[in-house]
Amino acid sequence: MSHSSVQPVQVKGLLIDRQRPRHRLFSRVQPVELVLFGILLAFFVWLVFPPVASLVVKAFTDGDTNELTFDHFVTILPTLVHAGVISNTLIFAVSASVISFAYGSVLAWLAERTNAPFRRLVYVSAFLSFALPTVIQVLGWVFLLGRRQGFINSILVTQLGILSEPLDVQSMGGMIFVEAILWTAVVFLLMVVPFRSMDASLEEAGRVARGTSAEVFLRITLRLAMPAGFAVFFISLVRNLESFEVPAILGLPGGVNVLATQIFVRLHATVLPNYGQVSAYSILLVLIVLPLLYAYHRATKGQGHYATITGKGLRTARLDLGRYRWAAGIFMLTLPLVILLPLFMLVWVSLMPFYRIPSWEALGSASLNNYYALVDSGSRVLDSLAATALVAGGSATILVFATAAACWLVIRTRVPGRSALEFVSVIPLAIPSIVLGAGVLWAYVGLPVPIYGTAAILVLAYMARSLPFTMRSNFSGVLSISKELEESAFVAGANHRELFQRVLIPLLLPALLTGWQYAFLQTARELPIALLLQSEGNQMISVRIWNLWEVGQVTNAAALSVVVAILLGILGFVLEGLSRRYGIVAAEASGRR
Amino acid sequence: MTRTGESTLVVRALNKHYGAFHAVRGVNFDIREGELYTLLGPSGCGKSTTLRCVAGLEHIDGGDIAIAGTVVDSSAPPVFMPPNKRDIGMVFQNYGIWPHMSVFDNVAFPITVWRSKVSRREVVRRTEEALAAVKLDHLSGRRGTELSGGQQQRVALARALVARPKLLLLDEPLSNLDATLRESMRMELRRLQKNVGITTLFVTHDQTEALSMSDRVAVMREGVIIQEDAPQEIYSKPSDLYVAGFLGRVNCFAAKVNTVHRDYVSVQVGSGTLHARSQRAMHEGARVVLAVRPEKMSLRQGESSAVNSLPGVVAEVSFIGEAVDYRLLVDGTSVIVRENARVIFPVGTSVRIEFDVDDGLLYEDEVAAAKVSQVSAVDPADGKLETPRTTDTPTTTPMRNQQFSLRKTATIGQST
Ligand SMILES: Nc1ncnc2c1ncn2[C@@H]1O[C@H](COP(=O)(O)OP(=O)(O)OP(=O)(O)O)[C@@H](O)[C@H]1O
Ligand SMILES: [Mg+2]
Repeated sequence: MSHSSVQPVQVKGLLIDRQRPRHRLFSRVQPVELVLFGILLAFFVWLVFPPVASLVVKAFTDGDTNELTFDHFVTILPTLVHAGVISNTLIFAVSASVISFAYGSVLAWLAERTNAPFRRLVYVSAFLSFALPTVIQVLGWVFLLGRRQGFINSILVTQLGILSEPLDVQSMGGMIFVEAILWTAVVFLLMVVPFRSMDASLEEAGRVARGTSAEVFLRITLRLAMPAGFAVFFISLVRNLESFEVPAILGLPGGVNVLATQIFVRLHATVLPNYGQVSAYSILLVLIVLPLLYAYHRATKGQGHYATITGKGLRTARLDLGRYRWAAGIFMLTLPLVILLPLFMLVWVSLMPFYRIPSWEALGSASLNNYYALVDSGSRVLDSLAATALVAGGSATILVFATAAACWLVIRTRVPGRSALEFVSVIPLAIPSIVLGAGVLWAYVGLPVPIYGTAAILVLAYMARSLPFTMRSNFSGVLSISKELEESAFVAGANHRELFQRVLIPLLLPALLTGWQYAFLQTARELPIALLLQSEGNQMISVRIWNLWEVGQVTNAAALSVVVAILLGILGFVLEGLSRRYGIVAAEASGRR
Repeated sequence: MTRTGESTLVVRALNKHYGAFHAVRGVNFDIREGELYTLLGPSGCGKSTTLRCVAGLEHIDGGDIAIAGTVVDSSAPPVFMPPNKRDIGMVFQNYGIWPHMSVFDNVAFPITVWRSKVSRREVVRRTEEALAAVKLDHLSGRRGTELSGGQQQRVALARALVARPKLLLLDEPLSNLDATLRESMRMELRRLQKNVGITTLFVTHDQTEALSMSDRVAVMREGVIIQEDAPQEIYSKPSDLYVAGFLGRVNCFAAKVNTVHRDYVSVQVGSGTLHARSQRAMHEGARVVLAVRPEKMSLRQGESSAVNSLPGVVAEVSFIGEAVDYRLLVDGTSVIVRENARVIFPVGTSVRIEFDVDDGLLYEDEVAAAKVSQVSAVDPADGKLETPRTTDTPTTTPMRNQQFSLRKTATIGQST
């Protein structure tokens, strides 16, 4: 008897597990399955195809004559090279990825494999960072490290006189720093998975087999975590290449341009955007991302080899760090510090009538006026909260059920062409947020059907965006359900609808919750798509914060950020708790063998 | 520097807590050079914990451990030698084969660690030798994940032996194999251990493994070693009912001591008188339990001249090939007898059940009663054998109800 079972589905759904052989339910295709397949494929294509097509068409046609042309690329290339946009993009993304990967992986290892203290605190703060909109966290850093009024700068320069020149977060260095911190949290959450599921006896065997602790770490632990590590690294690189918030808030004022912000500036900030050129930029960005995605794909494919959990001998033997334990503890504390510090700063600023550096004397002017103002101002903030809940909740709900059905079709049936579902669903991974936003905009802007200008266009764009990840989380979920459980439902006389309602959905609950949570949070914290597709009455909360910031209402922006942080923080932890609780129940029910 | 006859492993007053839970409570034992010593006990009794303490994978809370004359663990003065310096080999329950290395690299690991001074050529030679010893030389290029359970087990064994350690630790190495493979691996493991001559500490919850492989067996319960002896000794002279039941099935009769002549004791069972030898002093009139193993009893039709003889009626026959298991009713109580299959007495036959004086085991009742109560239906209070309630439905679990065994697995089909 084998005790290996599928790795638990995790928060991010980024890691897929294919170690389990796929069993088909029926040898013949059922008509219901064909119909379901047709509907799902049409749905997926509808999400993915229009934005991609409109981008490609716009990039290669002349706006006036509608003829095939490469002029757009020819025009933008010199600018790109001259302004250093491409090199900036690469330097920014690669540095942030390398730093966050090293930092996050070491933290994950310390938290899962050693007896370093503060594990829980690191986990909680990393999750908080993952759940909160990037805009909020970046604003916090501006308050801390802004060149003129940054709190840390004021201490280091004026109070203590340590520095002669203030640090400037609105520079390439600052951008890398902030992006790296944001991604460290994500890398940490992702790397915890392989370290946790690693069989402790593999390390113990190494120690009994005469390896020193360092040797066991290098020759066994690290190698075992490597496939998962590659996958995490590549996905973070992809995401950093397309990152928008940090380059927009820190890079644009500081004159550091990357591809994503160039697209935005050309589209948003000019009266008559040159769509051809914007599309050309977008396609360039996609071309940079594609090879990395291929590497990511390769890395996740081989991953099933290593990440096995054995049912027997559940020992959580952690490496005893001995006298280095407290040094490790201090290192562990650095992440909560850099995550919580900007948030505290936001709270401070939100209490001030105008921006002031924290001091005893300023404390006297603290009040809740900014919060009252949020509710006062024609209640448009409440509209934004409602729109965010509607768009994020709606897209997550539809998507989670559609992808669950799609995964079931791919794994359990023999419908011809079923892998097309898998293929279409990964395409959005290659499309940067800002590019996707632009694509969706052009695909629907001229249509007679009123989609543009409603919340529906946002829902469409976000479903396309979250498609790859919900698909993945459901994929592992369906794989982990043993085929016999479904077969017995059929034998007991259930039809397809009953199978889904009474067997699959309950068993899939943890995967569904994980996928939903991921899709919801990703949508609620996203900025570029929300910016490009906003319309009157459909302004997502991240857009609202951005707008307040843009017009200089710093304290109001801070107050709104605090409110959103509290709401999303609570929601994130509730969802996390739910998927944990039901995860355990359903994992037991799914009949691990 | 071990001399022949000196103990390779010495464990003294070993104590280990997990939080408030006292997992190992003052365990003492010695393993002589070349010996295979087994810790046998039910799940959760602390066998693995003891083994892991010896390996250095757990920090002990009290006591001393010495391997080959070197103190590796001690509570006062505090000594702790890490596992990599203890000169041991270990096979884990799930083998712990590294999936990212080939079979060769797995096995070669202990002699290619940084501080190992074995030359490259020597590494190859010794690894191949170790692989040949477990008959896996043809698979050395395979990945760790591309092996069957039995092959993984051999790789783990080769890896444990390649550095020629002083002590080999085996944690239920056979429990993940299927029944037939387990049986052949049992003999092979024993042969290999004897050939290499390596001192071995073996942990199992399977009494057949323990009895068939070991030089000496220690039965553990709740973190304590209850009895330690050679397999035949411990099987035929268990020190208490718990040990007796753990090593195999026994029939228990509530009895009262009639007369005592040195170690020769006659007891009153129901309306009859039986005789047995006792290892302990017995008082006349004391309530005791008489225990007899099913295979030590035999059946006969007609008159019996044996010292111990009980009248019974065959209630159930189960033919298992090499033997026959009978359930008989004696005074309305079930008794299980295992006989060879030459003659089969049909259900309803009246027979005499006989056993040798030396095969009757006597235990004091006070202690026994408490332990027996859940597993056996003997009711010592009224001094009469009582039929277990479960015999109402004999078809579901034909002959298991009366058997005195704490193990979860069925003993009926076990080979003897
Ligand atoms: N890391 C741990 N933390 C807390 N309790 C533990 C830990 N490891 C073991 N225990 C407890 O200590 C007791 C002895 O465990 P041990 O693994 O030694 O049992 P065992 O005799 O090997 O059983 P098995 O046959 O099931 O392997 C058990 O009750 C177990 O629950
Ligand atoms: Mg054990």
